[in-house]
Amino acid sequence: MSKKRTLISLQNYSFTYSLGETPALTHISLEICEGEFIALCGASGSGKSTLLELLKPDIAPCGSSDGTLETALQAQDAAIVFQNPGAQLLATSVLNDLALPMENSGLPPQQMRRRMAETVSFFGLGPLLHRGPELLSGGEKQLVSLCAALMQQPRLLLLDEPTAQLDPIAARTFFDMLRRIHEELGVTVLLAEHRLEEAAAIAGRILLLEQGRIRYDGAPGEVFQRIWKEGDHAFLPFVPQAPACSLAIDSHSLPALTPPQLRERCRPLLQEKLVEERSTPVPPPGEGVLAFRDVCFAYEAGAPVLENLRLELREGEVLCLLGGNGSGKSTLLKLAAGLLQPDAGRIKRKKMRTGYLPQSLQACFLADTVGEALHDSWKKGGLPPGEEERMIALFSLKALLGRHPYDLSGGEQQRAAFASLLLRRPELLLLDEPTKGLDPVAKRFFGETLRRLSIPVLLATHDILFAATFASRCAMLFDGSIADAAPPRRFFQGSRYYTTAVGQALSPLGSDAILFEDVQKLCERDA
Amino acid sequence: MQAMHPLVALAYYIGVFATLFCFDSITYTAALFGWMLLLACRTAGGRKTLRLLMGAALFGALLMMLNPLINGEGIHILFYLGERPVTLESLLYGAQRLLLFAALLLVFPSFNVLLDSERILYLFSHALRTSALILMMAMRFVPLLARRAEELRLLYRQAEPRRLARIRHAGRLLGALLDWTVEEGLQSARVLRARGYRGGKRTFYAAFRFTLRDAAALAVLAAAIVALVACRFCGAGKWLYFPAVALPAFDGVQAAGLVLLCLFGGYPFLLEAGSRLLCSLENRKRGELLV
Repeated sequence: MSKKRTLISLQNYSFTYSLGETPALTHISLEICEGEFIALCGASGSGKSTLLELLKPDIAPCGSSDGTLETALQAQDAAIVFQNPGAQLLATSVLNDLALPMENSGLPPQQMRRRMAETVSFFGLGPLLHRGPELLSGGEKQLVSLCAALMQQPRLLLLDEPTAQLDPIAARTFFDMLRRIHEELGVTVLLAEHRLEEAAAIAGRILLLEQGRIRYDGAPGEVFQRIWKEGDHAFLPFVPQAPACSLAIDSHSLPALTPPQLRERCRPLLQEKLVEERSTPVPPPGEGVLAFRDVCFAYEAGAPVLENLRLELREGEVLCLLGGNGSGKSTLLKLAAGLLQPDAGRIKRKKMRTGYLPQSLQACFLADTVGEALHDSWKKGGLPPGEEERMIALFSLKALLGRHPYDLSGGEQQRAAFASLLLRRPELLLLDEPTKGLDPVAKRFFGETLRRLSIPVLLATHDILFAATFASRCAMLFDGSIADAAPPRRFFQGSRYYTTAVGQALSPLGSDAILFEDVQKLCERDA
Repeated sequence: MQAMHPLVALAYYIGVFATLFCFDSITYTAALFGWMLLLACRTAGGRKTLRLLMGAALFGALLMMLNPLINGEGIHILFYLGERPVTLESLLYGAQRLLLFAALLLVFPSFNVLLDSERILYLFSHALRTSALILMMAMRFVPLLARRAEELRLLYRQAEPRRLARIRHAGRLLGALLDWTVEEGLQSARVLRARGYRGGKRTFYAAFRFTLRDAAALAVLAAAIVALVACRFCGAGKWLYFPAVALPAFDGVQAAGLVLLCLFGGYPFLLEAGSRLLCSLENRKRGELLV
């Protein structure tokens, strides 16, 4: 069998940013061969983005390097897709955005039109061609960005957490397209992603980074099995649900990577009916603190966003709002915060201090440093001395205090913004996509913090696993109103698309398991 | 005109703006207003045009009514409002200004369709390559800046009792907006670099072929504009409102000017009709279609 051609080779490569004190990448040895699909994973700040950017010379960061980086690619052979869907569309229409890379390459118009015709058809973006970016959903924006990257006909496609801001359905569409690009066009893919559930199922190789070093490198199943056997607590949270559950059942064979594979592993455990697991205790309803009564809202006449919406948030509960991109979750939160006024209906809110975390974190920071922002919030919150330091320690922000909030990574920004909000002593929290950009460890910490606060929380999220683990109740926003609201187990059971990997795997077998812990219980009972 | 090279539409609109401001006769302005109304309905739809007209009607009517009240010039006094004379001259002048204002307003719906951002960029991109890209990005980012400003205003609106505190607060918001904009600008620059922009030679996707048909259309248009200018110098469409309305005799020059103006204003419709006629003639030449 002929050996695949090496596109990029890094030998003992280290990199330090020009203003950085510690190396962002340390002794990286890595070979990327033609036709590979590699998933890159690791905690926030582990060096994923730095590695991706170094492989694209046009946007390589400034700094000093050591070791060798050899590439068989020209600058235009590598294309990159970033995390933020909104920031990647620069032109006034999809067509102009897609044409931009070809125009920059100086292609003749006839060649551009032919390439445009075939690539747009491949992506099925024809109906969007003449739309402005403001009329696209988050998922559509990312598909357009991916299509624009493909217009350069790259041999290597780099993706930096491209689905972090997408709803589960849009993320799945994106991954399907990525799989087709890899399989049908033979493009080499290097994908940095926190959402390993889908990535592990299509990637042939997985790289796990820790503080700039490669900790694991291999086929996804093998890597997950090694982490499991070694009991590596730093990386266990990165093992997705399907492999984690199948390893809990049998750690000697390679784990399942997809829900159907997991279903087959679990089938023997579910021979008898699970009566006791079905009846999840529902917490007694507390007093209502926020109620939407037949609320209608539209930004433009004739295009309602919310229609006769009814929803109640009760004392002490964490209510997770789910729904597609553009379904109106952020609008609902803005209405709850009093930033927008309903066109019809009433919003009753108990008089209490309300903390609101917007989706654009840039809007959260008026100060020039993280330290200043936290100090301002502490002063306004009127907390006793020492609370500021406690919060800084709790959210591990000490090293970031002197930095400008915009210089932080997405996950660090989320931590700083949330800590700043908590210093204001809120009695009700309205959070818009608070887990966006957080790695699994940070996400767990955030969820546990929310539970400890025991104040009412209304939270919009695309993260189904987070909602299933930490919500008291989940609600689905669809077509301007609440399609369903129920405790997580009842909410996710039976769903085919909006559910966890465990739910997808076990629901057809009649089980109401949705979490890894549920499968663990099944294993214990079986044992 | 949409099917033609954007240069034809550009020449047409230059002509429209020039004639609107050159001729001060009510009949000439009314003729152009009529054509602009028809063109707006044809390109942007009747409903949108009507909405635009309704919005402008109040302001226009106010303009027309205010002019005789403020401007007391003229010798034909119609009546007195209090002690102020309302003259025929100022009333007619107000009507002409109202028509001019409405015609100007009606230019934009059709302009946005016949010379959309893609066509404008195409026209200017060859002469000003980098500026065209900046123009396109400005068209995308200026509305975005307005949305960001609104988001910050909503989020941090507070009733500061003291003026100094209010100014300080507004300053902080402005600073945050600038930070945010610069940050997004940096991100856009990174995306632009990633999409292969190196400031070198670029080509352009939008391609409108300049055909013989476009050249002929442009030549006719240029001839019409030149003829209109010549008529204007001969006194066509010239009205004196003050001190007394002096209507020029409706001679050959006036008639020629008006006919030319009507032909010029309706040029997009003439082109469309001509194109259809040519198509149907060519269809007749084709052999029989067997079904």
